[in-house]
Amino acid sequence: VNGHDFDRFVDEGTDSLLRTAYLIVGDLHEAEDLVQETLFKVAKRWPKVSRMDYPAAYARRILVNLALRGSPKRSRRRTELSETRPGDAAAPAAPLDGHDELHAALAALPPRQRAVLVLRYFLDLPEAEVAAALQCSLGTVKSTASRGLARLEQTLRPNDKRRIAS
Amino acid sequence: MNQLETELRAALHERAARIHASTDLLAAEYRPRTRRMWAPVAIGGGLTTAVGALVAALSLAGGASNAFAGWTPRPTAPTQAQLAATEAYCAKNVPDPGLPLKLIDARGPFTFVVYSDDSSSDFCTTGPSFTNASGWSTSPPVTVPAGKLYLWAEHTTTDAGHAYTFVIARAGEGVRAANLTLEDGTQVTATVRNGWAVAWWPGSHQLTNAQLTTASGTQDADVPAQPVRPAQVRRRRPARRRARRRSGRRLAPARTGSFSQGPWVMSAVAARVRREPVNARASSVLRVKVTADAARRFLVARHFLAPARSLAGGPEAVLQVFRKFGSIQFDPIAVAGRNHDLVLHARVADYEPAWCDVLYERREIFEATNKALSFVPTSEFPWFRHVMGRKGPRFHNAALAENAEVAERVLERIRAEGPLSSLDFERETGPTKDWFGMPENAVRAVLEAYTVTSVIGLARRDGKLRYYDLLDRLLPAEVLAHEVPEREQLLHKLLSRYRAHGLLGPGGAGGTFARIAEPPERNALREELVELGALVPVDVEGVRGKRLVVAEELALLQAPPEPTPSVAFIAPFDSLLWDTALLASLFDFDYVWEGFFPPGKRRWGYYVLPIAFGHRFVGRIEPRIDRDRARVEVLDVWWESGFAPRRADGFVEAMRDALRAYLRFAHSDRLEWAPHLATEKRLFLTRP
Repeated sequence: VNGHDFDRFVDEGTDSLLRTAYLIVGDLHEAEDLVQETLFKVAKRWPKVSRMDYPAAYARRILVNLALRGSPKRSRRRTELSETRPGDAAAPAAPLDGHDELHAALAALPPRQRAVLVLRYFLDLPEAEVAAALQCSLGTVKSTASRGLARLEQTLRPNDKRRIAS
Repeated sequence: MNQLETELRAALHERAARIHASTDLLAAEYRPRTRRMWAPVAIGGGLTTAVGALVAALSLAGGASNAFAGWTPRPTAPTQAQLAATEAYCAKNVPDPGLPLKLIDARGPFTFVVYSDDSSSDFCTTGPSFTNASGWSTSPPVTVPAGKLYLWAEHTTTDAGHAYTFVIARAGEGVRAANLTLEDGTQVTATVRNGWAVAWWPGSHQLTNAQLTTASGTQDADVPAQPVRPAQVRRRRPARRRARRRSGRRLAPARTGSFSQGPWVMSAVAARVRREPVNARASSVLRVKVTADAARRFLVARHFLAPARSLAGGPEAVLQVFRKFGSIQFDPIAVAGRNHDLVLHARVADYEPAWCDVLYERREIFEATNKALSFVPTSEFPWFRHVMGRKGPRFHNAALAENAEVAERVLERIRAEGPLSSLDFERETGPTKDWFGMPENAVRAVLEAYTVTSVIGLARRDGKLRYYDLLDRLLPAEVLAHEVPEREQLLHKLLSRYRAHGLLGPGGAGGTFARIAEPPERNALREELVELGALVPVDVEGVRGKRLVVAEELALLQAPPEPTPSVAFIAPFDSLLWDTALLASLFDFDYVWEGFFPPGKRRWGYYVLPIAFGHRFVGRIEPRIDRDRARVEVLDVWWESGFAPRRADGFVEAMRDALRAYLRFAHSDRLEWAPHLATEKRLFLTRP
């Protein structure tokens, strides 16, 4: 019975996990790795997880954790890879409708800040759930989100000094 | 911000909609093999079987040339058996079974099926040599103009030299047919139906041109995506990833020899995106470079010193400084004015020490331990509750336990009588030893323990005497009720050091980062602040190592204002002076507080204030306030080598102004210069 539930969980949850991971790390291969690792971790504890109120929230927390935690190691590895395989692009899908600048600005944000924005504005999670996923306080989520937006604003509209200062 | 939020939401959804999960993800076996409770059925079992069949098919076929045998550039009519096989496989393997069938593209023995409703789409490929099912849900509704084609995904899958490429497009109303031209000139006809257009071909050649047939004729298509350059054609999953998939505890389906499902590629701007890696990690976090001059101008400006004593608004201006710095160090030495008063005097116009007392009485600021004993804005008090080490709760709980009887009496009297100091109690001794191992005044130990454990708090100071009251009578209920997790408190504390200084590095001299955590954890906290975007790493010309600036001040650092010719006397524990290494490398100013030095070892004096002029440190002054005689004695003045007060533009006037302000601050009416300072006395002759 458990196994069946888990299959459904994978079927239903993978998509959202993958997109979230992709938006945070910006690399499809890595996002897939993260999702796979997440699902594996969830599987290991499935009997417990399946009794949780929101298994998806639990998975999300693991995913975000993995995405933000292992970063230095993985990014080093990726650098090596990209050096030896210049033609290999885990190329992110190309924006076609004028969000280029915004994507570039997002990519330049620190990972945790980007994670908050992704959870908040892509998954539309309430701040409390973002806090749960990132294991931090509501206040941190709020300040991080507002800082992230300010940073985007600054990158996108650098001439508007007044807004930055405030 | 609202517009930005909307834009961001749209951009994120748009970007997310462009990726596609590889079937590996769904097909992988996540469950640990050793656990008995799992049913021995693999998820995606159907796929595994299919792939197994494929391996056989491939090896029988003997290689690439035959892998796509029977493929045709024009769609063919599918046979009954073909449809049945497709149906059997796809219905079981697509992520969202039950979506309406939109299109069947058959080319010889191969079929490509699209199922879709408005929010989800599934694609399923079957053929003698491979099968593949994938899904794409919650994509935003696409509106394609009539007679147009919208290139949705172009995807090349390559493995062991076998490659096939397919194009999925949304077709606007009126599109009857689409003829695609590939890089090598091959013409492929797409299947167009129900708003979809699909085509695929062996090899990795990309689409270069499309011709659309509508009611008004045939014309070159306006496909809103540029053809990709050859360099981008081959895309595979990196080798390491596949190796990982196969090894270890995770069991991937046997895919050897099959066509691995590569990433989805939108062709349009791929080339540009590749040159600017999107994987923004620590390495690519925006690293700002600034000149030394900009850093100096920034520091004095963010410290409210450009010009000095210009922050108007009385107590409200004081609060403004507090909110910016997060905390201001308290020190009881009052030779030249107490530290926090001097800090505020240098920044706030006509500062009166009484303002801080008023703010304390109003509970706008409160005493807490940060780097050292400090005043913090009451609203930030919840983040300063956790105190470490000997001064931490464990030690003090022990003190309370040892002196239980005294503790109870003390608390009862405070509860009954209101704010009391240790003098209000008779000295009682208990088993608690002080730092030197001597019996400690038990009352004082208890008062301190209760302070640390947040039972009582400092109500006011009277000279060196501290009066305590119950914390819940001192602070607003909402502040007391606000409980912050310990880690949050540590993060806040660490950030407060950067807020107070403005341009600290990862480490710092003289306990800049004391009372937060041991270095390994502190580093983790700092990295978290960087990842959160609260701190931004910057490089300062001429300064070794990275510096971190509070995110909100990045704009100021990048465009600091011109320095103003104003003079400020900087208090020894002013946060501007915390980083003595930076003072040396950035300001070429050698400073250390010599209060702890024996007089013979002092190069300057006991309580010496650096003199800041514009964005430079030009000298130091040792004033002493004689409150009884209402005089300020200037014990000594030193000038930095190469600095001539007389010749520096605007300095004399600025110095006079600073001295006048200092006299008012000290409630004195006259300056008394030490005998050897006759030159200075003449130069800066000052009356209040």
